[in-house]
Order: sequence, then C-alpha cells, then structure tokens
Amino acid sequence: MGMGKGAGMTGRRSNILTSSSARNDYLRGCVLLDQEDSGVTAQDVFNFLRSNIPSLPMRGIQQDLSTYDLFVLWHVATMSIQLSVGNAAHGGPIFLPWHRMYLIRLEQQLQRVLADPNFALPYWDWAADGEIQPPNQQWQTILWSSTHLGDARNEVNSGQLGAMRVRLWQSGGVLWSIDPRPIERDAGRDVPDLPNEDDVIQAHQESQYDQPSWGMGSVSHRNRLEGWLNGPQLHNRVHVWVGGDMSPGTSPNDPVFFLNHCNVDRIWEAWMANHGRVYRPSPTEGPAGHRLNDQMVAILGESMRPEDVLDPTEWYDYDSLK
Amino acid sequence: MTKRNDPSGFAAAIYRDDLAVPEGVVQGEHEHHDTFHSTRASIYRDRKFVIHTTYKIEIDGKPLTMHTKVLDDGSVHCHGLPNYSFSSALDMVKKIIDSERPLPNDELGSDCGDPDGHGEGSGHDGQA
Repeated sequence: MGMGKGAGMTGRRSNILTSSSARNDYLRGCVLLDQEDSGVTAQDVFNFLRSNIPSLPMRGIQQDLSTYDLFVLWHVATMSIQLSVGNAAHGGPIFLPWHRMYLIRLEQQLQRVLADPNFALPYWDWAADGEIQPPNQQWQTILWSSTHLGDARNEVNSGQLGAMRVRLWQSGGVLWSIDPRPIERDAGRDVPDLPNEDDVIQAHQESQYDQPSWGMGSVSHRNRLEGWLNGPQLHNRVHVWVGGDMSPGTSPNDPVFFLNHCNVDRIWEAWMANHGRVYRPSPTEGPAGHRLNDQMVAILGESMRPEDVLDPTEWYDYDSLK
Repeated sequence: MTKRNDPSGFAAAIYRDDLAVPEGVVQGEHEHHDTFHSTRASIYRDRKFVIHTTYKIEIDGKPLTMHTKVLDDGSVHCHGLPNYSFSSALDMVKKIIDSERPLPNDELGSDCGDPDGHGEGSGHDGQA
C-alpha cells in the first residue's frame, strides 16, 4: 500500500478551529473509516490476541469490524504489551515516536478514503482553550457543537461524529466486543480544566528528551508532555478532561484522540526545532523497547523505529509551531 | 458497512501468530493477581532508601485484579485507567465503580473463565 517512508505526498497539518476544510475532511474521513468493513471480525481479533498478546483477553459478541475499529485495536493491544519501563506505547520514551507512527498510518488511511493524497490531520490546540475562564466555559465552545465535534457530554449524537459507533471497548484488563453504540464523553467532570499555555511552556523548557529513570517519574520533555509529573497534566489531562470513551485503552474510539495526539506531536516538533532532533535512549542505553533503533509495535502497515520518525517532513509539517 | 478492497494486505498481521514485539517484553506482567507490589527507590544525602507498597483492593468482597502501582510522587495508577493518576486509592476505586457498564455475554469462545475475578457481566474491573 505504499505505507512506508517515501510514499511521496506531504500535507500541512492545521488547527481544527481555523481550517474548516481540514475539519470537515477529518470528520467525514473518520466516519468513512468507521463505516468501512475491514474484512476482520471480532473472532479474528480474539484469535489474534490469544496467539500474540495473551495479556489482553477478549470477550463479547461476534461482529464485523470497521477499518477505524482496527486502529482502536492497535492502540489497546500495544499498551497491553508490558516492558520493563512502561508499555510498548506509553509510560516511557517510546510514547512520542510510537504515536507519531500511529498517526501517520491513520493519516494515510484518511487520504485513501477521502481520495486526497495531500490530506493532513488537524490538531486541537487545547492549551489555548485551557486559557478560557471560568473553566466550565471550556467545554461549551463551538468545538463541542454540531458543526464541529458534537456533544461534550453524554452520547455524541449531534454532528458528523454522531454517525460513528463504538464496537470495541476495554473494561479493565479485558477487551470487549460490544453492541455498537454512540461515542460517549463526560467533559470537564473528572478534572475541571484543560492544560494551559504555561504547562506547554514548561514542557518546552525541559532540556532532555528523556533520561533515567525513563518511566513515569522521569523529569524530561517526554514525561512532562505525556503528563505524569504531578499528573494528570498535558496529554493525560486531555484524556481525563474529555472522559467517557477517552478514558480506557480503547480511547481512539473518539476521534478527539487523534486531535489531542496531533497537538502533542506538534509540541514535540516545536521542542525539536529548539533542541535538535535528538532522542534518548540511544541503541546502547536504557530500557529495551524504547531505544532509538527498536522496532515499534505495528499491527497495521509496516513497523518503524524511533529513528525513522524523528524527522517527519517526508509525511507532513505544521502550519504553526507556536 | 461498505467493504474495503484489500483486507488481507492492510490487516495481514491479524491473520498471523508471529506479531513482532519488542525485545524486553515482561511476560506475565498483566496476569490477574489480587495483590500488587510497588517499589520506589532513591538516594538522598548519600542515603539509599526503598519504599515497598502493597495494594489489595476488594469491591463487594471480590478482589480488584487490575494492575495497580504507586508512582514516584505517591499518586496511584491502575492499568485500566491508563491516563489517570489519583492522590488516593479511594478515589481510584470510586472512579472504577462510576465507570462500570453492562457487558454482553461472550460469543467468542473465551475459555479463561472470569478473567478478572468478578461475576459475568460485572464491570468491576473496568471503566468507560
């Protein structure tokens, strides 16, 4: 499918609040991927997990799964692979490069269903919304309306995303195949406010990408951006603030997931613009599974290594790093 | 749903049993236990100290089997709520209870019994 580096087309990622074309294409593309039968069934996934990732048992109903569902599977399955530090996608240095690879693969699928090889993901600059006062106004902006992402609380029935259905849902250590239902949100209840501009500045000011102890206690750009220091902050706080389907390991069920991670990726890109395209751990240090030349877990498309994605300009760039 | 035209190529890994996983995978890390141990270690003024913490949590008399640990800052984290950290384990359990949802019967042939030590259809191990 030409999914590797050098596929040839690049796009410019832009702000979902200011680019109506990126916004409308993204929402339409997510619905198209969610309505496309992947050819993979829940039984296929059950067999796959039992053979490959027995730490994630699966239960529930037999049903056809969409292409979008397979991205949900990829995320929850990868985070069920435990390493000596964190898991194969979170809680350690691999967090940023793994999600960069993951977003590139979704972007390529959106380009396909939209028949637009220049399509690029939008980002949600949540720190700007985190400046809105009082905090209970943060979930009552136009972003959470039928012309944008739909309802901020309860079932998402309005707007384009009202057509999407959740079929895979993680409950604790089990992946459940459930009767399809609308996306659910609970914005602003578990934490009252979004991260703000000062929080982002703090992440930019960290001089190290990562450093020992590498995990959820590391004082570093990666860990501050992931949000474990005095958490939940930054990336983690956005998950917690949106709530509902953004809470468990199946959080990509809500397309807000990719808007959050696109902004996280943009902040990382801005950090590299100031600090250089540097990454730790090198191939000779730190925990296995997080090193510069370790293969990252890929269920859809070819795997990549952190060193493959440090410079993303063959795939995309951002309209602004501010 | 419309049918995509390349299912075998796009999702090929799902039909294999040799998914490439990273070196260093911790086998059995997420097996279902009912007690969880965390160890925090540091050095302060040339003195090395270690703090061992054990959690054993029950809801309605049934053990909570989600992997739970203490972070360096003393907050509590559980695997099933991957982005959360709680200042108190009490708050974590309340969130787990708040997140329970009805679950369907199993049609996929799971032979692992009740994988989280709770009754069929209970959501005690989970969250929304």
